[in-house]
Amino acid sequence: MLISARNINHQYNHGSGCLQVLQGVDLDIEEKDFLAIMGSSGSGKSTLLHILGCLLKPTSGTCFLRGRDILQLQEKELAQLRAETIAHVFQQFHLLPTMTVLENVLLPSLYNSIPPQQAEAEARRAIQQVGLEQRLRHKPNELSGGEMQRVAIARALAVKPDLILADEPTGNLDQDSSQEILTLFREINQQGCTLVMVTHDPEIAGQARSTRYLRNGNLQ
Amino acid sequence: MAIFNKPVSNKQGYKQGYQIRALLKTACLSLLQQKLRSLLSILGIVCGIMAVVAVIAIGEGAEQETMRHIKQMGITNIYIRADQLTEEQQQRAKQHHSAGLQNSDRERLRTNPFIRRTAGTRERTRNLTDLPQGLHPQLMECTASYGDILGIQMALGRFISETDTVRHHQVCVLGSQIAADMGRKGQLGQEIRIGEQLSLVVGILARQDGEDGQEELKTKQTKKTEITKVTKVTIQNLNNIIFFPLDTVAGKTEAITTTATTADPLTGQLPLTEILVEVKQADQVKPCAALLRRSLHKAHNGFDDFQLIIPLELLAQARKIQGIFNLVFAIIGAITLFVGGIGIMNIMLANISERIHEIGLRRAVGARPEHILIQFLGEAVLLTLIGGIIGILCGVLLASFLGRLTGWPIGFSLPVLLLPLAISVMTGLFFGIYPARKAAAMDPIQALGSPS
Ligand SMILES: Nc1ncnc2c1ncn2[C@@H]1O[C@H](COP(=O)(O)OP(=O)(O)OP(=O)(O)O)[C@@H](O)[C@H]1O
Ligand SMILES: [Mg+2]
Repeated sequence: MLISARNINHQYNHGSGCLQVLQGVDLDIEEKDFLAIMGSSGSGKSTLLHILGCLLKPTSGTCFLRGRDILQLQEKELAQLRAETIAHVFQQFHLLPTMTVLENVLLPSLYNSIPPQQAEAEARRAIQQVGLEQRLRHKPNELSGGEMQRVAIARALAVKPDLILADEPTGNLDQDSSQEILTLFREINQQGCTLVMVTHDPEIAGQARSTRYLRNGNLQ
Repeated sequence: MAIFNKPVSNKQGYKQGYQIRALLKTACLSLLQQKLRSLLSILGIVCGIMAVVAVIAIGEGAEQETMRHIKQMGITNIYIRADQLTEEQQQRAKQHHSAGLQNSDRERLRTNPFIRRTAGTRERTRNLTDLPQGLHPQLMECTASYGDILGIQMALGRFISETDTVRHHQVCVLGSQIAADMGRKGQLGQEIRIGEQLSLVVGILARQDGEDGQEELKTKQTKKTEITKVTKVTIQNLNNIIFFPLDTVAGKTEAITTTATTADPLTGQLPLTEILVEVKQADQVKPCAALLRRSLHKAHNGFDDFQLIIPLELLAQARKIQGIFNLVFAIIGAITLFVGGIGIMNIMLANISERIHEIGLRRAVGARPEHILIQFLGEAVLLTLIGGIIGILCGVLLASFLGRLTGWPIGFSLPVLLLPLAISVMTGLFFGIYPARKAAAMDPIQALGSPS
């Protein structure tokens, strides 16, 4: 078992009141699983991914990663998980505008233990896998939405993590590109990387091993 | 697949260079992107460091100059100098039966166990009848020991000898400058005429370092006036002196620059201008000086027509004045740096608030709070370091300019340049730590949510 989350609740506090987004989510993710999560907009999918990725502490609940409670971990250990074990593909890409494609993809290697030269080789390979080898020196503002999305995917791949949390990784891609990314995901999943993917597209979700639906703050 | 077996504290020595290079690049880019803003923000540091450098350079120059003077005077020496007396004081001296500094005063010191040797000098003003126009050498009678105590080096021939003083030989020794100015007349074997008296040139001094050139500058010095004045009377410009053995220049009734103009009624000798005492060890200078003062006071029947000049004490005094000077400017520099540091802090806070998104992303891909701290602290230090380097350059220019304008000696040594560099780095650390800690303490997901 890679991840075992129990009774996860999360609420966002606004100035006026609070918004309960997750209400008792239970989720088990096996090693080498490929899970798709679907749900309507605002149902809390991104929130759930952030919690699974050690970026956000839920209001209550427990979340075990390979048997260890990630909610009890020190900042240092969390940072190491983020640097080496878990990679995010963010819904809003989150690329640094001042850096080139290559530098953006290399950013995590500043903080993980992959030797610099190997990191650069991995980064180039990942960029090639998403089909952007011609755009190494481009800045994000010179890229289309789909290209930025692919850079974000490459950044996650280059880390060679155990778990990739992809938030609508094909949201900005046409059908052919989406299919390419999905093929790539299945390939790395074959190689042993666990994948959790949020999507609105049932066809994309169908290519995962299993699909869960987030409704009313609950996974079904 | 053992996540937790991976070492938590990355002791990745090989990675540090990589990280530093990447962060340095980011820092430079971010500074370059806001060129004007960065430049303005380091202006305070530039001014502060410039002031510090100029002050240290000027202080260092003064210190070197003072040290040179005092070393030249001799750390173990005590100068007993006859006072210049007014008419009224001369009357009082007569009443006290004090005949000024006498060679007998000097001879009495021989028994003092602290003292290695003594010398006596008497400055004379007489016209040298057959000198070329415009030459005004100083005439000085002295004992043979004068040359030994001051460590005078000869270019040619010999200095005044013991026998010269005992036998009253009609000889003289020329300073290098006056010898050169006199041309053919200023050579060994020539004779110099004072009135009716002819003195054989038996030696020419080697040039004493750089006194001439500095002479004019010294009069311009406003700083450390006290010391300069004192040293100036004592340190003779040896290059422009003609030396004679003691008691060999005729004309006992002529005016002498110091003390009573008349001879001692008992011995018939003119008073000395100065008695130079060399103490055996530096730590004996102080007690010895006190002893000398007391015994002379007694010998002169309670009339103090002399003063003691003690280079060792001048040194302490000079250091004290220098210390006050340094303190004042250190405070000024500190205030400027403080204001400059606030500017840096301000700019770093602005910088960080513009880059919250970047901070969030770095945290999300694995940066620890320390990484963020180091990144922004590094940027602050980079700013102040650049400011410091510009400041040092400006300070060097300013100090040289001031030095040329005022004639102050300027000293640039390595510490003069390294200390301000260290100070600028410390300023960066001090004022950068608060913004950097603020950045490091941000919550990753909140930071990531802020607009990029
Ligand atoms: N930082 C926040 N502060 C307050 N409310 C938030 C915050 N982030 C998300 N929310 C709210 O929580 C709810 C769930 O947000 P979330 O981003 O998880 O939805 P989502 O399922 O990913 O939606 P989408 O499919 O549109 O991406 C939304 O209603 C949103 O308004
Ligand atoms: Mg979302």
